[in-house]
Amino acid sequence: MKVVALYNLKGGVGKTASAVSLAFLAAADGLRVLLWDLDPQAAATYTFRLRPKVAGGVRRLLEEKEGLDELVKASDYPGLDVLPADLRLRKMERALDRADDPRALLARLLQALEESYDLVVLDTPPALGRTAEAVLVAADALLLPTIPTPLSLRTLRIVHEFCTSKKRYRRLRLLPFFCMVDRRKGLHREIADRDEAADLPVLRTRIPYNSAVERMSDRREPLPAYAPASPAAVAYRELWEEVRPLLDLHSSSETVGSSETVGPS
Amino acid sequence: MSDAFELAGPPPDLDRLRSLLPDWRVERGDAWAEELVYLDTFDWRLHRKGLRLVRRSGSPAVLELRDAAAADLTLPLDARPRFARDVPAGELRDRLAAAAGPRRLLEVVAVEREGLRAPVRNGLDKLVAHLGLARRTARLPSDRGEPAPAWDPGAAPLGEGTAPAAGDAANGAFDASVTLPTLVEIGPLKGFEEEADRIAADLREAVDGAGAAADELLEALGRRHRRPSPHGAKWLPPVAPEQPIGQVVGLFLAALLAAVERNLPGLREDLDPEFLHDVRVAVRRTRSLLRELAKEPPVPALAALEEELAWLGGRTGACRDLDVLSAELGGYVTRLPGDLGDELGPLAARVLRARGRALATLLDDLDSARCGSLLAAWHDRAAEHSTAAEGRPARVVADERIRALASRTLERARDLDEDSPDDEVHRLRIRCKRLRYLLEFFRALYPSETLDPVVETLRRLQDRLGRFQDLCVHAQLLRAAALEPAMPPLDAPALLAAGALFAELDRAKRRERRRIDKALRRFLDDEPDRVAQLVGEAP
Repeated sequence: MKVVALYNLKGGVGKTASAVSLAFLAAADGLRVLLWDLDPQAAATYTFRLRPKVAGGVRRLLEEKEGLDELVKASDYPGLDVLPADLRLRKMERALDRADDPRALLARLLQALEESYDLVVLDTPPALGRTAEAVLVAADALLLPTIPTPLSLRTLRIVHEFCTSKKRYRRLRLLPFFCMVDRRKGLHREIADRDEAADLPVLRTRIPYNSAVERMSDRREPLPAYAPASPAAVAYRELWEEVRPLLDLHSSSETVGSSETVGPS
Repeated sequence: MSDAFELAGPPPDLDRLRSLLPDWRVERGDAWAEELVYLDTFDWRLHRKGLRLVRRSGSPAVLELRDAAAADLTLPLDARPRFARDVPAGELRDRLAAAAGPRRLLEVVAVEREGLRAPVRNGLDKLVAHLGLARRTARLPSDRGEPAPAWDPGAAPLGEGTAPAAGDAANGAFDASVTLPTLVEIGPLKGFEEEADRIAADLREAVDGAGAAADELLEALGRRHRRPSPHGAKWLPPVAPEQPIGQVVGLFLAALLAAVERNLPGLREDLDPEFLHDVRVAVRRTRSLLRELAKEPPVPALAALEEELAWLGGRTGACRDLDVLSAELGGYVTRLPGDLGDELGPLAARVLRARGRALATLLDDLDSARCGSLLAAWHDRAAEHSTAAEGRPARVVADERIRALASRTLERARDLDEDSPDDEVHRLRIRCKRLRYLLEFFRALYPSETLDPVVETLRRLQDRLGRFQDLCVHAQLLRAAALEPAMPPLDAPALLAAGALFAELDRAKRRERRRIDKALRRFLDDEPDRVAQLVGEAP
């Protein structure tokens, strides 16, 4: 099982759209995927038409009194499950403070899902607190959606420096990619045409700015499900094709979704 | 876990379904059709262990092993497996092989399902369950003249809702297929189990005639007045203490003859080696019954039948020995050093051919006039004696015979030592077998807490003696195959491998012989007291 987190200190950079799209595409590829919505704004949860509430509450979960698996909900798509956000996730920082080893807590919780999923996608809140630190320990790779602007590059550098300054995060793979690229803007073109950002190599796929993405909250479906031919959906597919080998993941016809169905599928 | 129940009448259409479930959004789903073929062995080994083996059509077709006590196992599998060994390696094959052993997997019932699969959404328009509605028709393989497991044809319908459908007849002239009630399955999505329960409850409440889903296999059989044969291959009618022994013998003769006749078609078709085994066991038990009671009136009148049974038993031996050798050969091969086992192919092929010849000879014997007369006489003697009331009470006879035979068996066991010839070991094994049969004949006369320990001690020794005997027989058969005069000599690598195999069998024999000495000591320590507890006197 691989764990990948969509992360950025900055909000509004396309984390949720990226997390939802990549999780959907990975499941469509035959992988068993769990999307864990760690952002109290619960945008991913909303997209999958789920209620933003974890049975028993987030504290119970973090105190490991509840198995993660019992809180998982199937999405409408075979092979893709969701661990919904909880509005009480804002209390997560405090709950993590109380944990014996807060940084390792998420990793420990995810271990229980090792046999159930091939890929866990974490949609994270835009912050660098306890939750983010726990994500950095649990994840194999950080996918960093970055708008090609100087301010976004600055926050990317902060994340890069933070991760390289701590020994425990050094195994973490940092995979920035340019997102919401508006090629009508000269500054976007200039930055997005570079193959590095904040001293990090950037993935070659650029996700274009596309109004189809904004309809996601209205459609309440993953972008590649309702607008598969849109430029952004096509780019997300390319991004998934680029990322999958980096995560050492292979599509498999043997894997099956955890959703139960009746009759032949 | 999906919820399932049944509805009388045809499946409701989508509009009707929507009106029955006003609180849910039922979408138009896919029409689908599939066939479920239930498989089991001739003697219902899977059913007896609470298992259902189903081949479900589709792309790909899958094989499912359902277990009420454990998680179901599923495997994509195109071809219908004939044996457990045909299933790809894994947990499903292991569990199937443990239950079915070497038996052929026969089609029991084929159920065709066709219907609608409708997604159901909640108030947030979130998919929460799949609702499946299926019209079902069931066919039995015997309708097409295919081999089928042993039915209990006189069975009453099984429970409610299994009354015969129109056209079914109790006299065996059945229609080709029967209609089962509409099946409703509600498969929840993970995390939406409560919603699925509510959908099921809403539907049950809204529809008249909703009932719990019956076991599909038993329901299909029940509608044809059939059920899995409740008795295993070794079943005998229970005996009452005061029952005249002549009548007991008559009833046993009838049950053992029925076992033979039940297994003859499968033996003739060579479906699996257990048909022959069960025929042999039934013949041997019958002989044993007649020999142990040879001096007990009215059994002396049956001496001629016993002689003919000895002939039939003898005719079945060669094929059975080669069946056992064929099953064991793979294990022997792995014991040889290096790649030597790979060179045993020609020898194994000769064993297989010898087995084919032995079966052909046996089938000729079974088709012979002598065998026909034997079966007719067996039938007549069973009918004569089971209705007569001759002889002493069964319990008196059983006590006497068990005491006498146990005494002779223990005496023979005491006489055996490490220098005794192999034939003596074999004779003790036969004596143990006869004692065990005798105990099993009269099982109903004794409390199981005193009978079971006697049988168990005996079984342990018998198993040990049996392994030794198999090794002796297999060494002889392999030698005969290697030196078969009608065949050209084996090439050098095959001869080398055969030599290594004989050496290995010889070592194994010596190991087994040492184990027999230990097993004998335990047997002689335990069995006299246990027999004394059973029949009231130390042998």
